[in-house]
Amino acid sequence: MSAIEAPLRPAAPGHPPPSFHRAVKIVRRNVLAYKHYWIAFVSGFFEPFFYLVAVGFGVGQFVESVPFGDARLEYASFLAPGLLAASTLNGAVFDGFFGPFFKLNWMKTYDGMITTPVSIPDIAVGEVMWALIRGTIYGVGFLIVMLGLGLIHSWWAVLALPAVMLSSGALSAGAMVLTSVTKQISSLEKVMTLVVFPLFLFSGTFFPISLYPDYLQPVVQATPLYHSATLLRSLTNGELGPGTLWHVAYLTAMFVIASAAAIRQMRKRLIF
Amino acid sequence: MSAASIVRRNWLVYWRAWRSSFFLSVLTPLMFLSAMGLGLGSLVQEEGAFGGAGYLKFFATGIFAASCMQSGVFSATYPVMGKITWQRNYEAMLASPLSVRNIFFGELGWMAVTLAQISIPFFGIMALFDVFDSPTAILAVPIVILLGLSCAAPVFALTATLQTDEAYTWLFRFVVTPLFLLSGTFFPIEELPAWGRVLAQATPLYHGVELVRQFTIFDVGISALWHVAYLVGLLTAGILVGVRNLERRLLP
Amino acid sequence: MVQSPGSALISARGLSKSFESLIAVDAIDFDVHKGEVFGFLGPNGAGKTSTMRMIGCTSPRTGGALHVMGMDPSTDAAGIKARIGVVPQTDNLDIELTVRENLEVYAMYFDIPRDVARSRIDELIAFVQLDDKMKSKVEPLSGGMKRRLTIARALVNQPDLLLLDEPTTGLDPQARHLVWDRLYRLKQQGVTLVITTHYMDEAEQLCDRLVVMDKAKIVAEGSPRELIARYSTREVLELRVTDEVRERLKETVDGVAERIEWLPDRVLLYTESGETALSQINAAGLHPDTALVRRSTLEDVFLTITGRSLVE
Repeated sequence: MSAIEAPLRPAAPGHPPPSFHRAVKIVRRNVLAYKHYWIAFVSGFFEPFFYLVAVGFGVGQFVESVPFGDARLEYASFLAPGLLAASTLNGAVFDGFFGPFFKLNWMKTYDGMITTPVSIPDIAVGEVMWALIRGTIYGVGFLIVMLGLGLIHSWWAVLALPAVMLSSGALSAGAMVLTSVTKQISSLEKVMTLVVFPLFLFSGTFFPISLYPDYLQPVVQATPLYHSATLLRSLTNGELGPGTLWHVAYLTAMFVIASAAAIRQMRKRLIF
Repeated sequence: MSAASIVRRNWLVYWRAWRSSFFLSVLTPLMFLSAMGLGLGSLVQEEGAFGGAGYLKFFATGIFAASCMQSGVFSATYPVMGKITWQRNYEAMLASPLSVRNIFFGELGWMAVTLAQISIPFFGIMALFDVFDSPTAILAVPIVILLGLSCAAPVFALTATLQTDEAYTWLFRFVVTPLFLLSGTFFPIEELPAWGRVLAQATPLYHGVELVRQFTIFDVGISALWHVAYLVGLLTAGILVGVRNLERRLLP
Repeated sequence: MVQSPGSALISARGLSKSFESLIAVDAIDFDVHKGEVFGFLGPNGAGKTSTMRMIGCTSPRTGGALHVMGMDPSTDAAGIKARIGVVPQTDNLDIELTVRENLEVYAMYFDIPRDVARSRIDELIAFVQLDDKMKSKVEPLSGGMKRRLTIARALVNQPDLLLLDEPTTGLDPQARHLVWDRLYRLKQQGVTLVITTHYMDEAEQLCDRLVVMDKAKIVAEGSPRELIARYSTREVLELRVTDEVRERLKETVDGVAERIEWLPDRVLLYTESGETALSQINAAGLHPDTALVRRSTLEDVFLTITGRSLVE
């Protein structure tokens, strides 16, 4: 007997689409794990705060004002929403990239999960949800700090909370896509240095992108953190314009597209 | 059999990973330099604010010292812990004529090599950016190597006592990062409240940054001796405690 | 020999799995009946793990038919997964959680209500004898404890069918026996077990029936006793001889044994009575360095069929 001549195409594993109910189980598992690692969780909040103090106030003393839209902002008011966006990036990187990377390649946690009714789309959606939650928690904390330091200048800042969630979601989904295509531990350093760190520094977080030469500006405008930072900056300073909706559109599109891509890629990694 | 053989062994083991890691560890401070020095620096409007040198030079020299500090600290955390606990390289080494002291000095020697690998290219980049105002600038490289080692040694002493890496979260988040941001790298410590200034002056990065700046963009003053003495003292203390802790850990 | 598909818990006909560059499973047929312990015996790379993954619905088959508890994995994976437990070759326990928490999250994945889960987890921890390790993290546990925890985890949903891929590989003898003991108790409770292994003693001890796999195909099937009777003699005489004695043995050995295997380090003589063969050899003036008379094992069966040993 030999192998059948016309092999069946690998059928979809007969699973229903992702369900919120099952995705939440991933979140609950992560909460349980973090009970043992709460220091790591809490400490992630402090980095943007330290930067705000050091750069926003330390160096900010020497900066008169920064152009933004039609207005000129005090430097700390310019920087703070940039760091707020960065704090959502932190959450996305920790729990949308590092965490799932280790679960996928090292602990093989997902290989075990897929022998239960939890499916791959549930896993991808669940991890993105959790990273979104973490980013939002950091964002809320940072918003409170901003409020305390007098860096919120508009009632539009009320929308900063959903904006933080949107930013967090988009970045987490993007991180999950990265996870699904990263296989070696040596790649972690590359991702941090060549993706995360440049995003952090150059997305209009520390200084306006109008400082860049004209040909570079569209490049930055194609990257996600730029949209997070600018959207949040508009909201906390009350400087909205027609462009504001573009940022929302970009982040929403990124969230949807990246989530779908993450599900597809994770399936390739786990089912073969 | 000596510390030199440890340096050689590490070189053999790491040379392949070296190239990629080297590239990345130079890239990081370079990116910082561009963003802060050029980007933020162009927003700085106050003349004469940074000792007359301008923000780019001020920041570049600061980040030069700070990167070496961070690199020194990191190299005494996970890599060393790996050799003690997970891979047990030191155990294997002790089966040879090497002593614990050899191991310690060998590792420090290797860290010095790594620091040189990072600092020399970055020094070259700063020279290209026309950061240096003085021929004594060349001494900035040995200065930051000394800084890196004097931070690495105490951390090595700490690592020798640890069973898990939990403490590192505290170390990096609540010691290294604030140090990095508030020791005069980004802005002069004169901007800090009085208590902050005193605190900063007790930390190694402050002394390293001051030394680097004196030799590169300002003038060397008598305080240089004090800064060097601090770093040497910290290094010595780190070595003494480190060797003792490592002996206790490896020779029960 | 192969019964009609309807009565079996698992039934495979022409089951195949091929990747781009290799055929991992080549059109195999087998049936697993309810309540038995069924084994896949074969060396590494034979296709056992691939077969298990297809049964467990984590790998899509590329050919043939497969039914698990009446359901087809390509359309009803969720239904199958709800009723099976999987113990993989390498533990994938959650090292960020404690022993008890590992079981709690699995109970959550299976939608087991909290109170039911609590008592069931207590029972399972007692069953695998990890009571005093309940609050411990996973990493400090020994290999045997981790394996027992994985088994407990696979039992959280009270499966009708338990799939174990190389359950005692890498464990010390004491741990192995403990695992075998637990598996035997499960069988007594009516759980159907499917085991893959390359250890002949494991197959002989545990399995009611087994198939021997080699290079993606099934080369033999039956109970351990049937296989030994069919493919080997009752006893085996194992000799270690010097090269000189080996040469002389080759000349004088006719009629001493039914079959002879000339291995690099040993000579195996398959015969009804090993003692008789040994005395015949001694009578011919040949004295081996060591001589061992033992019963045939599944290792001998594999050697006879394929000419190779189970463990390379």
